[in-house]
Amino acid sequence: MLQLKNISKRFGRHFALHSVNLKVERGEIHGIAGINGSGKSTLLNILFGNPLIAETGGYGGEIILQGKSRRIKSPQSAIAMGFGMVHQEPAVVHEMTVAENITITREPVFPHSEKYFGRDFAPIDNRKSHKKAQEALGMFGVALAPRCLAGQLPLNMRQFIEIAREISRDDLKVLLLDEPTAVLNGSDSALLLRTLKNLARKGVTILYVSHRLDEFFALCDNLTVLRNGAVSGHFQRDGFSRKAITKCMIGGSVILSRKKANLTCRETILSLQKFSVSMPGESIEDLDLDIQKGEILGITSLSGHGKMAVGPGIMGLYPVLGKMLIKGRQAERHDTAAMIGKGLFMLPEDRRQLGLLQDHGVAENIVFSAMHCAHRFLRRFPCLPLHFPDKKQINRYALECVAAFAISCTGIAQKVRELSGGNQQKVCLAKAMTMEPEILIVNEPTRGIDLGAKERILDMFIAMNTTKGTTLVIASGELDELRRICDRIAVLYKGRLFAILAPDTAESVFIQAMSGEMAKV
Amino acid sequence: MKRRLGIQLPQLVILVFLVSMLGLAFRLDISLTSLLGDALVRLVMNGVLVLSLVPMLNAGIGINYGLPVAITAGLLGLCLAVNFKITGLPGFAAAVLFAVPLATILGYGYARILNCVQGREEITATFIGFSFVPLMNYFWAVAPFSNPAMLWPIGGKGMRPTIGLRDYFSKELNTLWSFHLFGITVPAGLLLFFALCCLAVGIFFKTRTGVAMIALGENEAFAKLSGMNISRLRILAVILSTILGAVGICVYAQSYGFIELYDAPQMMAFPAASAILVGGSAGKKTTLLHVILGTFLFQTTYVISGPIANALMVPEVAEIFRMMITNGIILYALVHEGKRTREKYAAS
Repeated sequence: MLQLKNISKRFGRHFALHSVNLKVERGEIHGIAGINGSGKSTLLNILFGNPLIAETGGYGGEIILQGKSRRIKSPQSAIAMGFGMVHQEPAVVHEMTVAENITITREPVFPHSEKYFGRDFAPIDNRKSHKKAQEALGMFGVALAPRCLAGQLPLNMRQFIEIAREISRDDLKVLLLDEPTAVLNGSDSALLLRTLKNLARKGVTILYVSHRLDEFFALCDNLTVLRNGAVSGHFQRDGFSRKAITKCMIGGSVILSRKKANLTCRETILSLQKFSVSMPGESIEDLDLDIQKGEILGITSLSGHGKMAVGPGIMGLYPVLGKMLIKGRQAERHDTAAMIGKGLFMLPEDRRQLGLLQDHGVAENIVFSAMHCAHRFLRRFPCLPLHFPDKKQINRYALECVAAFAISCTGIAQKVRELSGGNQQKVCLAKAMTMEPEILIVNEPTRGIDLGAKERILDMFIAMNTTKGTTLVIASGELDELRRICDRIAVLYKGRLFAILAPDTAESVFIQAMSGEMAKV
Repeated sequence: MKRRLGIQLPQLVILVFLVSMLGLAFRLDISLTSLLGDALVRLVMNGVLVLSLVPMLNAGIGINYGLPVAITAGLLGLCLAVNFKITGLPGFAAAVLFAVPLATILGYGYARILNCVQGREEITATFIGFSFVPLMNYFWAVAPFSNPAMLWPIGGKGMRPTIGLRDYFSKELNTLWSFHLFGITVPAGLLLFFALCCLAVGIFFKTRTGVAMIALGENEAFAKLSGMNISRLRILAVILSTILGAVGICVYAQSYGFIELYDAPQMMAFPAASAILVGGSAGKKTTLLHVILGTFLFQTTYVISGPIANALMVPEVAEIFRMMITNGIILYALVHEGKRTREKYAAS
């Protein structure tokens, strides 16, 4: 069905891909594994005709689709050949509704109108369009109002819209997925995998890029591993082995971080009472939750059930109702500056947009919050009320951080835009550590980060908690990780607290709690 | 290194145009030294106005198309100085001193309006400028100034559209400490004043507040999450821009020798915006180099093309070429920036 011969791609002098060969049959689900920077995304970008490839000098090698040699120049040509793509970060139009996004370029029109007005000017039949959208979403059991604006939905719902758009195409031959589960949590991913299997049974070829091994085991017929832009291994379904694949990916093995849960009752540091947050697509209603001093509290839920809203709500980024007591006292002002002043800090899930200044250097990012909120790293200009950043002190401190957090960068002046996801997250963590918060709230700390870096980041949380006594609130859909490092895990359902479970509770109980099927604890 | 200097295709094109103009001027026996002297004066004359765009650009508010607001504050300062008949350098200093508090007040109001329209500041600012000018026209017509040199000669009521500064402080800065070097008149005092303004802006952007402003310009959501007071920073940026703009028009007026009232400020924002774009600032962070390079290139083409056009007997041609090239470069700068932003996002 699809054959790649000696595909190469160069960015300047650097080879992103080096003679990659691949053969995929019709209806096969072929996994492509590799850590960040191994060339997986570049390969998909070539297949989907991403303009970036053409602008940087095109690719080398041959792509053979259904026995014919093809040259892919643009996304339009790729789509015409039957390729479809689901991006890591959903590419949906925020200003358009769910239905419009799903049926885009294939909008159903009123009968006969096409004959008179032509395809371009025929009026769209909204009712049919909504029905089509609902059918597509129904394939993986997601219920979304077709009229809702896509931009108001949380990230994972936008991802579902993108997937629905691609799989509802009738002419789809090859579906490319670039880490589609990076923005999805465990149960959402399971839904997606089931849908993909059904799709493959209908004869669609699927190329699935990820670095989550479990997904390959659950989904793929064959697996190709990339390392440093070259194929480092081929595996067939019956030959899948976690150890061998991991070794192929990183050339070593990973030790999982783990912390022993501590359930002794301590004083309450932050108490939420009838706390409601109105965050679009992820709201909380009447949440009652006590956070104890020095614990690691996990917060989990299915997407859209409120786990992501706890942090932004506490930090005052969205309108809230109800009471919030910090060490037993209600704060006078509830805005981000006041909360930071009270010793709270938050790392958002959207590192690129909210967590970092992409065009600033590593050092500037690390000290930024401390400089502006805590007035540290400053030098006063003699006799004038002007404060300048103390470059010497900043550089010394940043170098210490780079060493302590093992941030791999060319220097402390390197722009964070150029770092990998894992290293960006480490910079975020260093920034948070510099603030020395009493309570640190983290949303999805390991989203989009490769295996090795993930464990190191979890280790840092544990170290922060045990050595500095920082209270950590980690909102994540990665149940497995939460269970390894948390003391308690709060499960939200429909924006309310459903249960607080010990991390060693059976996984099935968690799943039941997350879907609201368990008797309330 | 090349990128650091800010010299890219648009600057190169205009440089080539400039050099060929200079060559032409040389062949036509037009005095190059006087041209260069003029170019230096025009650099500062417009430079402070161009510099005034920097705080708002760096805070992410965009180009200050509402420059007429700042200019009005400056004009009020100038009129006050003339009204009290303060002459010489003290007259200029008084104009600036009067203008600064007025600019602060006007800038604050202007900033409050801009804070209501986050994301569409540039077009809003344009219309704030456009609607502010007629308002001020009414004021100029009834302003209670008493110096007869500023009022209509007949009737003695309402301001004249053009007030001569010859008896007050015309060209005071231009001639301050100026000296001759290889036949070029170097307006040292004027250049020094410009340098001081640039230095002040440069130092401001090295302070904690300045750094915060740049961060706000780069990523507003990040700034919000870091607990920065965004509306306060934006107001501060607009006030700074307005104060600099007011000082800018004071420099401009003393150099030009006239105060121009009524509709004159209406279009003043556009040459300044063009200059900063010609300088290569179409991104988020604007540097002093963009300001100086842009103003120099933009104004020098203007200085040179006039005499050449006169000498060649077809006065329109040079002007047409000048407009074509400068406006073409602005368009190129905007298009190029769009492309670069796309590439940046694609790469990350």
